[in-house]
Amino acid sequence: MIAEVQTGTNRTAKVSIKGVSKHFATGDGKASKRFFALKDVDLEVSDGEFVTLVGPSGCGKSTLLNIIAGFEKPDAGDVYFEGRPVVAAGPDRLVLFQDHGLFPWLNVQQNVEFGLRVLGLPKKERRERAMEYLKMVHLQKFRHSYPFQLSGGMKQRTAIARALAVHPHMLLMDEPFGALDPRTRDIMHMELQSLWMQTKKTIIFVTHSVEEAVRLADRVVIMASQPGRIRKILKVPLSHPRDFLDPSLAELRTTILAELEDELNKLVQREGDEDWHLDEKSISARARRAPEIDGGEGI
Amino acid sequence: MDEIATSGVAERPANTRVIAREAGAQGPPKPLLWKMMASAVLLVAFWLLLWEIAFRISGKEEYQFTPPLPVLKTLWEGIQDGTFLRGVWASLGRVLYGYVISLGIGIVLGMLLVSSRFFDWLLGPLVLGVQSLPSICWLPVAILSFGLGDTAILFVVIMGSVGSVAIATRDGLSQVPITYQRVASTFGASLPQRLLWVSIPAALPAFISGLKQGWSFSWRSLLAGELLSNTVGVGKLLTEARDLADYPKLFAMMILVVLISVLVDKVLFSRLEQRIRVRWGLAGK
Repeated sequence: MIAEVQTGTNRTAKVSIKGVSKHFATGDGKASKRFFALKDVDLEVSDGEFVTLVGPSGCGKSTLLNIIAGFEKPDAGDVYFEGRPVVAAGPDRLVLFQDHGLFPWLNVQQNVEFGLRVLGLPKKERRERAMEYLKMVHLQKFRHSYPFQLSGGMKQRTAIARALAVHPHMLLMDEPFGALDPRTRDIMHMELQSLWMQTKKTIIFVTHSVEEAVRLADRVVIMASQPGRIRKILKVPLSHPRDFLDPSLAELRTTILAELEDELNKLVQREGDEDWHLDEKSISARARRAPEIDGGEGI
Repeated sequence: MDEIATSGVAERPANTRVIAREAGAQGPPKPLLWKMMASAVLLVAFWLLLWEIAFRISGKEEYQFTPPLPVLKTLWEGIQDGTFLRGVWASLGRVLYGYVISLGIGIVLGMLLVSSRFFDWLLGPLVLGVQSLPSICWLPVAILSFGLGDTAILFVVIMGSVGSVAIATRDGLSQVPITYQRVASTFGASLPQRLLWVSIPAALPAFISGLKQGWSFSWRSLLAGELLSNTVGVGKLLTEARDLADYPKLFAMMILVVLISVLVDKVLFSRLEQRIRVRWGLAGK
């Protein structure tokens, strides 16, 4: 079902996903049906690449991320990370979560030191490394604050510092900015872009925001649902750092939204009465009118 | 239709100092100390006055229905000559001893319950049963087995609270949020690291609530047990007062017991609980 696969450059593959399927049983007993969260997914991600997975809910993008992370096992297919099959989660593929996962009983610095403590680093080195990464996310001054005292953006920056501090080979980000307001999200996009340029980490980033996807990615993987699969992969031909107001980003976004149009109809069929239909023309019109729909670009 | 499925969670403003102040001032604003004292004194005076009036209207003799003044006098004298405090001290020592043992057993039991399905199947219903049984029901067994003494009371105190502690440990540890567990996994934490640095701290709020409940069960079991035994303690003081039909002493002891209960429960445990809930970001939810 892959309409147009564009592999990255010829750099070595960091992650390669081959024929991965994952299903869940819905209902019970004889009425139980197999629901494919993912079916026959192939994807290669190169070293240092920034890839975003975008699609409607139910397209399996988070499941795919969890499989790469090692939290879940595929029912079929293989996942290789740096040439070795993925068997369990580990600090080489560090995961960032939408609800940040900071430990509320630790302050900012102690949270950043968590991974370093797991690695068994001595106290002095832990401290130095924590400070280095707190500086990178501009939170040195808040190192003694507790998570309940921080805003959503500050929590995510702390989580990013905690992740980078263990020097992971790649980051897996599961809608990390999904709970933030548009303004904070803009800031986080710029921050993440600059961190990525500084550290050259490979990043796989899951999002439901098409705008977020095109802003950040080298390649946007568009996913579809029922069964969850890759529909299309698009290259974003802009270099970093990017001007997020670049008209070609808006254009790309329109292309992707048009690509995802029939996914909306599927959603409507799944989540409403049979006589509920969307006026397709008006949706495409909205999609084509572009930027101002999302609060993120309101100027 | 840019957001395919908006999560709709708004973010709080980014000024930490403001947020910190808000979080610190959760709940109603704290009234001034002198105002609190004044209102407390007024309340106590009101009820004492009502008590006195009730006594006068009833027309009973002092040996039938005691007015408040002799009670307060007895309380004061009992505290001054040390008889009350000796009793209270002995009782508190006993309950603390039993409570600590019950913590030890309860925590291990709770961890066993979480550690495997087999143990949960084997011990779970038993622990629930022990927790549901009013602990005073153990007293006849305890007296038969250990005689009417300290050991019997200790046994009742332990049986009274061990179930609560075990269940609180189990619930706390089994309700560790999935994100915390995944954070531990992604950082590659080993099993001991996971338990010490993630599961136990995450379980603390639920655990403290269980500790508080366990304490209050211990304390109640102790008093019930002491009433029937003959060792130095609050129970014995109460029994003596009953034998002599000494109403003022009975009431004085009851006031003392209330004071101790409130002190431990509201001052010690509730404060600890509140602090942890604020820190863990659970307060006000």
